[in-house]
Amino acid sequence: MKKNIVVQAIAVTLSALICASLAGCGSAGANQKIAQPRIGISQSTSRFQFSRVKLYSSMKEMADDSSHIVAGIVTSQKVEEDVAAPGTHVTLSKFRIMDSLKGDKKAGEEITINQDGRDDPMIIKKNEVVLLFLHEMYTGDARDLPWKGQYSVAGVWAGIYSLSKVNEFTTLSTIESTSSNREKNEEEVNFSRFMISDSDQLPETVSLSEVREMK
Amino acid sequence: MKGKFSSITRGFILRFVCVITTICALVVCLTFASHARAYEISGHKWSSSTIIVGAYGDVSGTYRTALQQAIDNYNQQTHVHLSIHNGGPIVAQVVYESHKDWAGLCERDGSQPPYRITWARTKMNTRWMTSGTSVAKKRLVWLHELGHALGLNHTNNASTVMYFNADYSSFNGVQYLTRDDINGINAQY
Ligand SMILES: [Zn+2]
Repeated sequence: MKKNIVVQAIAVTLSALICASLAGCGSAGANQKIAQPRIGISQSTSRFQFSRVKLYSSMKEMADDSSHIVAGIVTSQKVEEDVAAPGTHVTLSKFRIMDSLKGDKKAGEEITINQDGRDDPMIIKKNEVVLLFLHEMYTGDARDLPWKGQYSVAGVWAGIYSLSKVNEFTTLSTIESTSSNREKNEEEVNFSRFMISDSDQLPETVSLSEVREMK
Repeated sequence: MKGKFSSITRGFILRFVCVITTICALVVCLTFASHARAYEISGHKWSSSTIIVGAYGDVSGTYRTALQQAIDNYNQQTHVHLSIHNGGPIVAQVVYESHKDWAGLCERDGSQPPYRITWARTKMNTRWMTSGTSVAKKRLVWLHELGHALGLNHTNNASTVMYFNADYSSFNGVQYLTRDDINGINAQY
């Protein structure tokens, strides 16, 4: 009788373990810690104000102006003194690409995003899932060498879109890990405007497939 | 009796019409006045209207001329008094910043109570504001960044210095502080 109870307990524990591991396999990406989406921050809340060189009248214009368009997650970040202006700071964010919509980068690759300033609503945060419209900072000009491998955001803040819903991260993880059904999956992942300002005429929300069609 | 009554009624109606017309005129005036105002105050300001600007980095040649002209424009048109001396709490820098989509940048403190600005840092990016860019365009960018340093935010009016993009303002004929920019500064100092 006592032996029976022990066997039953082992069986229950084992099946619970198997179930837990199976559930884990089914949504490996979804288990990764991600930050709550940040949508609709007012540009005037930033300590940093910019005189922009270009304002975008459409998403297509911003897409055409960007060398790279990528969706992914901020894996780590650090604050450094700006190489160009000692005494001022830049935030360098390591960004893992989960879907590449324009440019020579592939899903799984990591790039560095260079944003002016630190500790500001305008700056992307660790574990945030965002869609980024980027410029490659190294243009071949010798003066650009300090920024080789770094990317800046198109329109300073305009080119940042935040994941609309946390559960869409699972679909984004599927896009990263497999190329099957890419078109269908990209339709289901939506991003919303991160920072609101009247400077640009951009849509509030876009799906990855809509952005892919624009490039 | 009938005549007296009708004259009283007429007088009352006339006075009533006058009052209504005055109210309507006031409402129209106020509506236009509020539409005309474009400036946006951040709510952060310096405790004194006399502030020193320290010029560092490559603020020389036309960059320096443009900065001095911008400062003169503030001194002549607004209630603030700016001057250039090293060590001033407003720092002006000219730097090359590779591919960043800004011609000018301003960082300022004062976002916490009591919302007093004690330092600000302005930068001009020589990637876009090259040595060949006109003094007028550089002056416009300095005017814009100094406006942020003094506590102004962006406007939605492309005919003001404080619009998001200096090229658009310049295209609309803006060369110096406009009446709206001046009102924005003077509303705080
Ligand atoms: Zn600005």
